[in-house]
Amino acid sequence: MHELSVMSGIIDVVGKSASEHNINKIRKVKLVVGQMANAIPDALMMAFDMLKNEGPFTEDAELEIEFVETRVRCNECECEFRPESGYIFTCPQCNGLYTEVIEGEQLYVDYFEGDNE
Amino acid sequence: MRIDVKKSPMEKNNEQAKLNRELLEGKGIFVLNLMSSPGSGKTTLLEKLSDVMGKTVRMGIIEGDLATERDADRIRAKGIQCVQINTNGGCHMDAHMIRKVLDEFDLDNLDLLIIENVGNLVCPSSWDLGEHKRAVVLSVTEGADKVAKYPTMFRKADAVIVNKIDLIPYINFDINIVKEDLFAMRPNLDFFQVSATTGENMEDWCQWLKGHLIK
Repeated sequence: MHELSVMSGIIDVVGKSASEHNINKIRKVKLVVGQMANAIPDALMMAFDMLKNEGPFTEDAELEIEFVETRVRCNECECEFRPESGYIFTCPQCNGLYTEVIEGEQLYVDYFEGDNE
Repeated sequence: MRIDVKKSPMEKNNEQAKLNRELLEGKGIFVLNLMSSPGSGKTTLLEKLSDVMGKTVRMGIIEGDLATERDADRIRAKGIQCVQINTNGGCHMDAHMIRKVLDEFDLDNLDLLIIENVGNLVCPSSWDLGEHKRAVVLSVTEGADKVAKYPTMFRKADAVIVNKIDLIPYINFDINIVKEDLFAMRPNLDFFQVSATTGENMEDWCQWLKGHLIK
């Protein structure tokens, strides 16, 4: 359960960018969170509500999370697939074991919206 | 007004991890991040390691725990340089915590630095500390299903050490399930089966460590 420290990093990143753009009222933050990023959207939401008063956010500022499911590419036959039950990474087409996660590990701030008031 | 950011909150940690790696590499030190659940026997494994190669390899250990100096005291009793980090409730260590304690080591006279992470099979896998390799310890008493249940940890491991194998005759533990699940997600993984208590197969994983030393 480290969503609090992840969220404090997110608020840092957003706060810094906001001050570079002279924005002091942030109304919305959009995050992209992968299935393998070890951060649960609900816990991030809760952490945002707990921490948003530490940054230049409006009281009703909202957090939107785009959740990205894991996608894997087989290095042998190049087919792309969603790993079964989230953890079996063997290629369903050629049974190849050498596979690469192409989506699902990301965790980043996509954008934020705000104004200078 | 909408501002595109496209930046990860982990960036600050990753930058520091890179600096740690460069600093330690410059000193010719190989760094291992050792992770597992609480109670898997990481510290006992390191005590045994100190017995086996503490005299031939110059090593240092960073111990991570929520509280107490107990692990560090056990390692120091073996004559090994050791610094304890207390995360005060935090579920993982980060690259900045590591940097803060590096100056407490005699880095010019070190070949190997092992970071024993906080016991936790989830969070530590997200934080790069500046290590060269990651090893995960799994003790047989935790059950053979843990690899499949905690894929993010095992997917990023370079080596997995199954510990407490001397207990297998007394419990219901199928090592083949562990192997199947592991190699299906990490086919080029290095795999060891040891008992830190009896010393069985400790030589194998000590050899693996020695093989990665930079100088």
